[in-house]
Amino acid sequence: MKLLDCPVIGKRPISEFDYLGEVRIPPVNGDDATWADYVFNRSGEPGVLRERWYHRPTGRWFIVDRNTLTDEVIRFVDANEVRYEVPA
Amino acid sequence: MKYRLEPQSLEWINRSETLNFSLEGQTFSGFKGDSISSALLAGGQKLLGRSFKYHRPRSVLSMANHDVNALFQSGEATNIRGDVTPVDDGLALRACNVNGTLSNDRDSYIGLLSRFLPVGFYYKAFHKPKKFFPFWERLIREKAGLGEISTDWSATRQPKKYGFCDLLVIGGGASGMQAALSAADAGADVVLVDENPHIGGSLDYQLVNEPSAAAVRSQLKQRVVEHTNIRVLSGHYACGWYTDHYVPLVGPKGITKMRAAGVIMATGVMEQPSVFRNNDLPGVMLASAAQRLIARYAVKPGQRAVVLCANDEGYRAALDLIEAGVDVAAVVDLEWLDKRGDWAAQLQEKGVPVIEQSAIYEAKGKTSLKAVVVAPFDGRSCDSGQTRTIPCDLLLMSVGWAPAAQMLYQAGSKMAYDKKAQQILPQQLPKGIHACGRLNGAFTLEQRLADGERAAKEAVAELRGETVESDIGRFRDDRAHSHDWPIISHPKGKNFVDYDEDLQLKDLFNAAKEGFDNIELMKRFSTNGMGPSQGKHANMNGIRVLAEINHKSIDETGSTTARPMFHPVPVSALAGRRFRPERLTPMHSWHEANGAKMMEAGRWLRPEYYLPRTDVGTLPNAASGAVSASERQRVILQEVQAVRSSLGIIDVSTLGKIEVMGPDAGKLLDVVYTMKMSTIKQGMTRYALMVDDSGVIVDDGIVGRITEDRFYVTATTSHADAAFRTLSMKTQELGLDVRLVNRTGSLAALNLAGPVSRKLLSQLTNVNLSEDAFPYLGLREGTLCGYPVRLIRVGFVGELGYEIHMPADAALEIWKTLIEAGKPYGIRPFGVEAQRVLRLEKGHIIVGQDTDGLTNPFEANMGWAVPLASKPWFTGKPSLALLKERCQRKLIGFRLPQGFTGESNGELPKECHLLIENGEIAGRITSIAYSPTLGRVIGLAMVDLPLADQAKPLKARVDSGALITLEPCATPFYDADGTRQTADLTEVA
Amino acid sequence: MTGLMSNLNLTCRDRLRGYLLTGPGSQAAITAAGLPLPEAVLSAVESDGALVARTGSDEYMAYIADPQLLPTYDWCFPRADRVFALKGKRWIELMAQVCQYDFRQMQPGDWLMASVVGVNCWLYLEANGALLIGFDSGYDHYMSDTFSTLLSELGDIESNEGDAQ
Repeated sequence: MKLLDCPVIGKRPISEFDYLGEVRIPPVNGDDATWADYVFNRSGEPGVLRERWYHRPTGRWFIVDRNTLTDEVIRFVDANEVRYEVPA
Repeated sequence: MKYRLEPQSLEWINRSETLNFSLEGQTFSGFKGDSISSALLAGGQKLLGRSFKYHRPRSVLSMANHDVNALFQSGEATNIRGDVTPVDDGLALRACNVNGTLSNDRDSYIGLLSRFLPVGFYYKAFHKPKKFFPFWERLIREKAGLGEISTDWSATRQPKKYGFCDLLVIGGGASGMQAALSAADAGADVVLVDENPHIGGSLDYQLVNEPSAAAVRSQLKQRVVEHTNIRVLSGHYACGWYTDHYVPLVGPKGITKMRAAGVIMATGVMEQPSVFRNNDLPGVMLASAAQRLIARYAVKPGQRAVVLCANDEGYRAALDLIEAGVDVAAVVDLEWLDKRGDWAAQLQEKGVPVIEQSAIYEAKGKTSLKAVVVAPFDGRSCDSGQTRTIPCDLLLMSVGWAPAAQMLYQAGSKMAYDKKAQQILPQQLPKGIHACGRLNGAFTLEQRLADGERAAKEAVAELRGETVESDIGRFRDDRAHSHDWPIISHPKGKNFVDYDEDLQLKDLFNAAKEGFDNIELMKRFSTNGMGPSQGKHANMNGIRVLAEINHKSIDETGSTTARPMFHPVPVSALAGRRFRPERLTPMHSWHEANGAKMMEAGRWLRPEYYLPRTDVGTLPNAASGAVSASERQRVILQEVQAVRSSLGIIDVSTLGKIEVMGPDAGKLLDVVYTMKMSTIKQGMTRYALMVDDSGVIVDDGIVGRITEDRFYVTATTSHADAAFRTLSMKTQELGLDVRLVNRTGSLAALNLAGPVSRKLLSQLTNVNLSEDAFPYLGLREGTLCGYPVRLIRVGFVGELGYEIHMPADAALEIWKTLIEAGKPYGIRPFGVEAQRVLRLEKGHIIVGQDTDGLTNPFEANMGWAVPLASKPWFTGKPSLALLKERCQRKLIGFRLPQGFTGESNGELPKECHLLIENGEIAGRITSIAYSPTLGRVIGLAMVDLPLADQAKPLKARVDSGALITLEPCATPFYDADGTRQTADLTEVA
Repeated sequence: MTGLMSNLNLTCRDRLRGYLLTGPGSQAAITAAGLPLPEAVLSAVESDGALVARTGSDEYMAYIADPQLLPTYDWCFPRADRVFALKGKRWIELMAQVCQYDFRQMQPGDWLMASVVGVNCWLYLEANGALLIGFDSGYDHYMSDTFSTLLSELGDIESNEGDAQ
C-alpha cells in the first residue's frame, strides 16, 4: 500500500483517502461535443496529473500534481488555483 | 541419532531437550532446535520425499527453505517444509505425494515412463476429446502434485500489526549486520530481519571454522543485539516489497506490516546445483546444505564424500567435512586449481586429491548415492570416453550462486549480468533501495563488511535528504564465484534443472524447439521455476540453458519476474484479525429486544422486519434466522397494513443528514441538485435529486430550509458519505462561502407514518401540527418529549407521516415513548422490507434498486425534477438536455393477474428477472412485491422503448425459464391523487 | 475493560460531550465560553474539563466535561462521539494492530485524525499518558468488541523480545 505525503496531515496511507480522479473544469459554455468529451473521455497517458484526494478521517480535500508514471507528488495545489464559475 | 556429531560451536540444537516424533509410524527423536529434515537425517532416514512427477526418491538439497522435495503432512498442516520446520514432540508426519510409503511408493514406476512424458505432454495429450479432460485432470492431480488439503480444516487467524522504521535491513548475515550497525550508529532507527531463528547468516555455517571470522562474528552479533537503535526480528522473513517500502514480515505469530523509509537488501545468494544425470539422488546436495547440517544441527551428512567445485567455497566445505569426520575422497574442480585460494591449499595439505577440469558426468545409485562418475570437462561438455567412478555416499555441489534478488526486482531495480562475477548484480537501484553483501557481488568477509557500511552510509545520507552518488560496485569481488555452465548433458537424461517440477535438461531444449524460446514462454510451457520454490534453484540454470540455445547473452535472455510472496505465507497470517466495521443506530437494542431480524445496509444494521413477541410463541428467536418464508411474508404484510390502516414507526437513522450553512448555501444546493433549492421557503422542503456529470441518478433525498442561510439535507443510507463529499467538493471547486456539518451519526431519525400519526404526535410535541400550520413537505423545529427535534412532513410510504430528526442520545427514549403512546392505536414498528412494499405501492423509486449506473431521471419518469428551462445550471444539466429526447428505456409499473400468488399458478418473478420480447431481452424487473393493499403482485420494470409506451402485456422469464405475463399499469398503484398524505384517519374515513 | 492494570487499561470518558463549531463566529464563541483555543489547524489544547481541537480554518471540535463551559453559538452542533481512554505501557503495541500510524512519534498534546480498524477516529494523547480515541457512537459496539479482544490478548502477556512496535 502507498502513502500520500501531505504537507498538512503528514504521510498517510492512501487507504484513508478517496480518490476522485483528475481535477477537471466543466466546459459550461461549450458545445455538445466539448461537453461529451468532458463527460466521457479521460487521458490515460502517463505523466503529471492534477488530481483530487479526499481524506476521510479529517474530511479534507487535497489537490495534488502527481506524476502517474513515477508516483511522485510534485506539488500540492491551492484550491483557489482551480476554482471556476458556473452560470447563475 | 546415529549421525549426530559432537557438539558444534554454534549449533542451534539444545541437547538437553529430546523430542520424539514419527514418520509413517516409525519413531524418531531429535533435539529442540532440530528441523524435521535434520532430525530425520540424524536418525539415519535419508529418504525424505518423492518428486512431483516421477516419484523419484529425494532428500536434502539446500536446508534453506527451498527443499520442496522434502514436504510432509501432519494433521491439517500440509506441504510442511522439512528443511526449516522445527520438530515438535509428538509430531506425526507423513510424506507428501506418495502412493504407499516413502520407501515403497507404488507410483515410482512413473519415472520409467518419463520417456513417454515429454515436456508439455499434458497440454498436448489431454485436451482432445474435451469430454475426457475431467478424467485426465483427476488422474493427473492424484498422481502428480503436493500434499493433500484437509477440507475439514479449522479456521485460524493470526493478528497482523503495523511496524515503522527508518531503515529495514533484510538479511542478518555479515553485510546485513554491518549495515544495520553503521546506520544505527548514524542515528537511524533500524529493524534487522532474518528468516532464520538466529542472526549470523553464512558466518555461522560457511565460515564457522574460519578462525579469522570468529572475532568479527561475536563482535557484530553482540553490538547488533545491544544497540538501542536496532530492533532484531529473527525468525521473520520479508515476503515481498510493495510500494513506498511496505514490506510484510512473516513470523511465527503473524505478519508485521513494516513501513520503512528505506530498505537495505542484504539477502545474500542462493546456492545453485549442477545439472548432471541423477543429480537428484539422496546424498547429492548443495555444499551449503552440508555446512548447515553440520554447523546448525551437528548432523553428519555422509561418510565418504566427493565435492564438486567451481569456486573457493567448495574447498571450504570440503575442509568442513573433514572437520566433521567425513572422509573426502576427492574434489572435482570444473576449472583449474591455480584459480583457487587458501582453502584449496589447506585441503591439498590434508592430502585430498583434486581432479581439475572435470565434472560429474553421472551419479549412481538406486535410492541413494553410491558413486559418482567423473569425466574431463572443457567448460561446455564432458568427455564421456574418459570416465572414472568414485564410490561415495555424499556429493556436494559448489558451482555457483544466484542472488536472492526477488525483492530487488519487485522494487524495480535494474539488474545486469556481470561476466567477471558470473552473477546477476544490481546495476541501478530505485530511491530508498540499497543492496550489499554477496547479493551485490561482495564475497570475501572484508568486502561484505565494507559493502554493508557503504550501503548504510548511502542509505542514511539519502534519509537525510542529501544527494547520494552510489558507489555500488566498489567492494565487489574481482573473482567469479559461479560457473557459467555447470550443466552436463547425458544421453540418458535424468539431469534435472528444476527439482520442483522434475524438469530435465532435454525438456528445456524441446520446449525451445517447439518455439517456446523466450524466457517467459519457456517458463510457462515447461513450468521451469513454477513449482513451490519458485525457481530458487532452477531459474539461473534455466536462463543459462536458454541463453545457450539462442546464442544470446544472459542479459538478452532476461529473467522472469519474481513476484511476492518470497516463501509461501499461511492464509491465516494473510487474513489477520477480522475487522469489519458495523454501525448501529441508537435504537438497535430495542430492535433486537423486540424480534427484529437485522439486515446489512452498507455498514449499518437495520431491521428487515420484526417478529413481534406475541407472534413468536414457540418460534425460535427471529434474530437466529430460523424464520420460514411464509412467516416472514406474513409479518411484513402485517407491518404494511398497520401503516396503511393506523400507525407504523420505522428507524431511519441511517439516512445521511447534512447541515448546509452560509451565504452561498442556496447557490451550492442549486449546483449539486437538479431542482432549484435557493427558492425553497423557510420551513419547507423539496425533493432533492442528484445526478452526475453524465446525467445518471446517483442519490435522492430532501432539502429543507431552516433559515435564510441554513439548509438541512438528507441523503440515502448508502450514499450519505458520498453526498457529503460531493457537497464539500463543490464548495471548494466553486469557492463558496458555505459551512457543512455531517450530522449523520449525531442525529437519529424515525418515520412515524399512518393516518393516526398526527393525533399521536400532537400529544407529545409543542409544534402545531394542523394542516394549515404545518403542511405536507413542511419542516418545523420544536421539542418532542422535551428534546429539540426537527419534524418533516414526508410522503415516501404514502400516508400522513412525520420524519423526526433528533439527537442521537435522545432517540431511544423518544422511540420508546412513541411506541408506548401508540399502543392504543396498534402502532407497529416496521422494517426495510415493509417500507419497500409501501413505497412501491406509491410508485416511488429506490435509487440503486430501480435505477442502475446508467439511469437518467427521464427514464425514471422524473422529468418533473429536471428544470432544464428555468435553471441556468446544475451538475449534469448539459447531459440531461441532450438525453431528454434520446431516452432508450423507461421505468414502468406492472401488475400480475389478480389471484397470482406464485404458488399454484406459476412461478413468481423476482427482481432482476429479464423481460423478453420476440426472444430478445427487452428489460428487467427492478422491484416486485405482493401488495396487501391492492391484493395482487405489483412491480416496476425498466423497459426498452418503444415497448414501454405500448399498453400490451410483457413477458418476464423466471428461474425455471418459463415466461410469466405482466400487465403494464399506471403508477402510483395506490392513492394516485395523494389525498392520504395529508389526511387524518378521521378525514379519510 | 482491563487487562493487567500495569500493561493496558481502557475506560470510557462518558462525561465528555462533543460539539462541533463552525463558521466565522466559532473562534469568538470558544473564547467567550472560556474554552482554550488551539492555534494551528489539526492541533488541540486541553484545560480543566475541556479539550478543544482546531479541525479547519474556522472549525473546532470541543469536548466538554463541565456543562458550564458550553458555548452559546448558533452554529454549534452536539456530536455523538464515544471516547475511549487507553492507558498502559503496551498501548503503542495495541495501536500497532489497529491503526497505520507510528504512535512512537506521538507526543502528549498531539491531535491526530486517522482510520482505526476502518472507522474514522480522532486521537489525542493526554499529558497523563492516556490516549483518547473518539469516534461516532454508532461504532461503539464494534469498537468495544475489537478493543476488548485486543486487551484480553495483550493485557496479560509480557512483551516478548524481537517484537517490532
